[in-house]
Amino acid sequence: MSDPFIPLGRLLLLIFVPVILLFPLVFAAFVPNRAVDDSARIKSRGLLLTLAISTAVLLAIWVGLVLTGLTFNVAMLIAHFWWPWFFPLWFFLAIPAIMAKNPYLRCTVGSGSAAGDIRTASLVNRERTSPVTRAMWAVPITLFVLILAAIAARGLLPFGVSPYPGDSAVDPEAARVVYAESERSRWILSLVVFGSAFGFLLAILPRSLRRTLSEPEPMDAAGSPELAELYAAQRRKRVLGLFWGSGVVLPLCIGSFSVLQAWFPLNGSTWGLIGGIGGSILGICGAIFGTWMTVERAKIAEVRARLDASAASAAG
Amino acid sequence: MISISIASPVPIHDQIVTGLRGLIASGKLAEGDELPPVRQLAADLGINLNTVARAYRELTDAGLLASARGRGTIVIATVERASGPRAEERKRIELGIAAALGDAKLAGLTREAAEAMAARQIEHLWKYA
Repeated sequence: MSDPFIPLGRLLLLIFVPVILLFPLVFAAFVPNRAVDDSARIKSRGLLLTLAISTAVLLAIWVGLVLTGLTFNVAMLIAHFWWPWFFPLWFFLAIPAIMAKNPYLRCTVGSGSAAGDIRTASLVNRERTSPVTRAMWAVPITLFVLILAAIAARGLLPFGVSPYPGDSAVDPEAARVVYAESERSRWILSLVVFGSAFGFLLAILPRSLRRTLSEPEPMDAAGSPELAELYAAQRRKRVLGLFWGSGVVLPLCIGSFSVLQAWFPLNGSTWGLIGGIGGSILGICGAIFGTWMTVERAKIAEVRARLDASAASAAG
Repeated sequence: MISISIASPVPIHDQIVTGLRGLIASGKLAEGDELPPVRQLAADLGINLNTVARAYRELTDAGLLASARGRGTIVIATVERASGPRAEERKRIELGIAAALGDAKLAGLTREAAEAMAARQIEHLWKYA
């Protein structure tokens, strides 16, 4: 019996490769150009052109591999694993091009954001300004315990009760024993993986939130309240995003998947496919949130530069 | 808010110490007020952790700050612990005033301008006293 999800998985992989290879070029092309000097503009144009040529070459090779793969399986296998080319495209060409197009994005990296001769800082301890209240912690803790209990509860029932969904020619009793063992292994794996991964995540979340709260927030020389308000609003979004994302949404999605896998074990690649697509969607959501926060930080850095420039022109 | 100048010949840790002492003296930082963690202040100013830690330590030794686990660094007094006999303390302060007034005279300020400047600082510092 052939698994209908296998061709679907292959099709998705075929779509995934060109999409992921095109992503750096599309992203870099859509970043608004805020370069302040001509050299940065020329640099960004050069990098974008190199990125476009590299992407086109890689895609052409990939098309060649896919076409060859219709005859030779090895070529198709290479075509399916062509996606890691995303990393050099992204890190060596797209990011430098994006930084050249928008120099304020550079200000969002670490403490390199503090610049200039006069540096001003707020004396408020930001660790005490967390929007995450003590009561809110009940949500991720309860969720973690409930999901863990739901997975663990499967162990109270016998394994291998449901009929073996595989080949009918196989000895049913032998197949049932093997299938029961496979179900038990999958249950233990779900329990251990979810319990340790999310237990650890929950344990380090308070520390992660503290680190997020104390990310650098350099002020303009005059310490403008406008800038302080922008920082406060962005910090609130960042902390709440991290709390709800890592503490609730992520364990809820992966936990629900683990519960379903423990209670309704299916044969074949169904769970793998669902897990792969679901995991990718979660990863994309995380990347979108991270990008959104970085763009906001860049906007704040731009406001700071404007405030410093207007203060300097007023003084001069 | 605290400001430092990277271009200044005055060491950064001295600038932090002077800045915080000024804020405590003017009442902008009161007893019980909490200061940001060393890591946060260093990141915001884009300077080394040890520079901020050294400044905090100096103010702690002077009896103005104290660190408590879980509570961070707080202002515990608005008057420094005397570093020597009272007369010597006064002498040190008088020398500081003399140096500042000498700077004012060398900068070409008139007596009236220097007096107005000193009066303004006195008014500012003793406003909350």
